[in-house]
Amino acid sequence: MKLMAAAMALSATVAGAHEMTPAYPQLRQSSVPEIMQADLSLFNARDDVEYFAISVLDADWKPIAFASAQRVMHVVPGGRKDFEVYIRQDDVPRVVYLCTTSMLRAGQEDNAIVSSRICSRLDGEKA
Amino acid sequence: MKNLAIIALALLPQVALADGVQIEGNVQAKCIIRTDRTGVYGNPTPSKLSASPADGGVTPSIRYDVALAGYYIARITHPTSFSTSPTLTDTVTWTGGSSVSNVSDPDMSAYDADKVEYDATTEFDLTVAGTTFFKVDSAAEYGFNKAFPAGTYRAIIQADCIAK
Amino acid sequence: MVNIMPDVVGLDVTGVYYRYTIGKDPAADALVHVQNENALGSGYIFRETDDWSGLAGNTITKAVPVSNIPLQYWGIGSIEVEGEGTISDASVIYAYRVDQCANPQSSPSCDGYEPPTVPVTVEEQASYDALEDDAYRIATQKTDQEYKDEEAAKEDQSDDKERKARLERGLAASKNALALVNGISQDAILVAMGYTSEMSAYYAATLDGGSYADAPMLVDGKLPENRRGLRNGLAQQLLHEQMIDLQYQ
Repeated sequence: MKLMAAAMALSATVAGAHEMTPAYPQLRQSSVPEIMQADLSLFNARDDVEYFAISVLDADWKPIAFASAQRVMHVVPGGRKDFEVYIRQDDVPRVVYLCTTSMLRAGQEDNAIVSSRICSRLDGEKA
Repeated sequence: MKNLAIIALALLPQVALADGVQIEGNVQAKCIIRTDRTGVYGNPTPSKLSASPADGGVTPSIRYDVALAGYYIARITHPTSFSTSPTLTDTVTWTGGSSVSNVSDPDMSAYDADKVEYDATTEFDLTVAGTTFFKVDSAAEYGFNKAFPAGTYRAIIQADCIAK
Repeated sequence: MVNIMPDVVGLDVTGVYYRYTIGKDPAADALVHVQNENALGSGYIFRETDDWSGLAGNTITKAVPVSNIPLQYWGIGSIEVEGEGTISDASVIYAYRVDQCANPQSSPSCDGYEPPTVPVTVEEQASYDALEDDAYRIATQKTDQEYKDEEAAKEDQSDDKERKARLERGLAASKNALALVNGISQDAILVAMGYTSEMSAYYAATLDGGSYADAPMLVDGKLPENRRGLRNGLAQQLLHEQMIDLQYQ
C-alpha cells in the first residue's frame, strides 16, 4: 500500500541541540592497572558550536583529575562522537559528575550566548 | 542392523528453526539542551541593556527534552558579566531570572512553583518527561545612570542538565 | 474537517499537534479538552485532556499520535475549558497521510490493479494495385518475338532516317548547285552590265563654245535717302564722323 505521509511540526525554530549519553555511565577497568574507564557519546546538533570541553567534578563541583584523548573535543555540527574518560581508581569514590560544556569561540560573530552543559553521574543511578 | 539405523535416524526430532527477527531497544535517561531562541539586548536607556521585549530586546529561550521523568535537574544561570564588551570603567549591575514559558505537559507548570533560586542560578527539578521551554530574563545597568560606551556587548547564559 | 483537510480519497490522520496558552489562578481547577466530534456517530473521535488544576497558567505544546483514523470520521474540532481559565493563542495542526492505492486503478503498483483492456484497432487494408501484381507483370513481359519486332521496327526507323538524311543532303546539294549556278549567271549579268568597251567617244566629245557678252550694267543713279531712316542713319553717320575726328585731335 503506498503511503504518502505529511507531518507538520509545531515546534519553534531550533538552533541546535547538545546531547550526551548515558546519564549513568558505568566505570569499568581499563587496560591500564588502577585506571577506570567510562564510555560516553556526545551528539552535537548546534550549528554555532563545534568544541566541547570535558570535565570531571565531585559533589561540591570541584574538578578532579582525569585523562582523555582530548580535553576539548571537536565535534562537527550534526556529528556524534564517542569518547572515553580515564579516572584513577583512588578518585572513584569522590567522582560524581562527568560533564561536557560547549565552548564558544572568542569574537564569535553570531549571537551564541547560550553555553550548554550536560552532566552524567558516575556514582551510580539514583536510588 | 542397517534398517534399524535408518529407522532411528528417521525418528530423530527435527530441529525447529526460529521464525521472526527480534528488534531490541531500551529507553534510557537522556537530557537534550537546545537553544530555541538566542537573545538580543535592547538599549531602552543609555545606561541599560535589557533582553526584555518591552525594552526592545529579545528574550532567550532554552528547550530541555527529557526522556525519563525525575532523572535530571535543569540549572540555568543568567549572565553576571559580559563576555564581549568595550572597556568599562564602572560597575555593572546585573538582574535576571529564569521561568517556564512553554510545556508539553500541564504538570510541568509546577516547575515554576518548585524552582530554587540562588545567586544568579535557577534550578528546576525535571519531574515530568517531555519538553520544557525556559525563558531567561537578563538586564544590566551601568554605574549610576551612566551611559554604556558604544560597541558590541555579549553575555553568556549557562544552561546545565545534571543527572540526579 | 473536509474544509481543513484536502479532499483526497484515502486520507487518514496520523497525529494531532496543538498549542495554547491558558490564563488562570494557580489555585483554581481547570481542565482543557482538545477534541474532535465523531462525524459518523456520537461522541468524540479524538479528545485530549490537560489537567491544569492547582497549577499556574502557561503555554503548552503537545503532540498526540493517532492511529490512522480516516478523514470521514473527523467532525468539528474545538478547545473546551472545564473550570476557571481562559484560552488564548490556540493552534491545532493535523498530520495526515494519503493512501494512493485507495483507488487501485490509480497506479499499476497498487494491489487489485486491473490493467485496462486493449482497444481493438481496425488495421488499415493496403490498397491492391493490379498493375503491380506479379502475374500482370509476367503476362505483360515482352516475348522474344516482340523484342525481334522491336528491333526490326527500330531498324526500319533508322533506315528511314538514313534515307531522309540522304535526301536532305541531296536536296541541299542541288540547292547549292542552283545557288552556285545562279551566282555564276548573276555575275555574268553584272559583268555584262558593267562592261563598257567604247569610251573613246566620250573623250573625244567636244562642246559648242562661244562667248558671253557683257550683261547690261546698272546705270549710276542716286539712291534717294530714306526719309524714314534719316533720323537713325544720320545720327549714326554723325557719330561715326565724330569718332574718326577724335583720332586726329
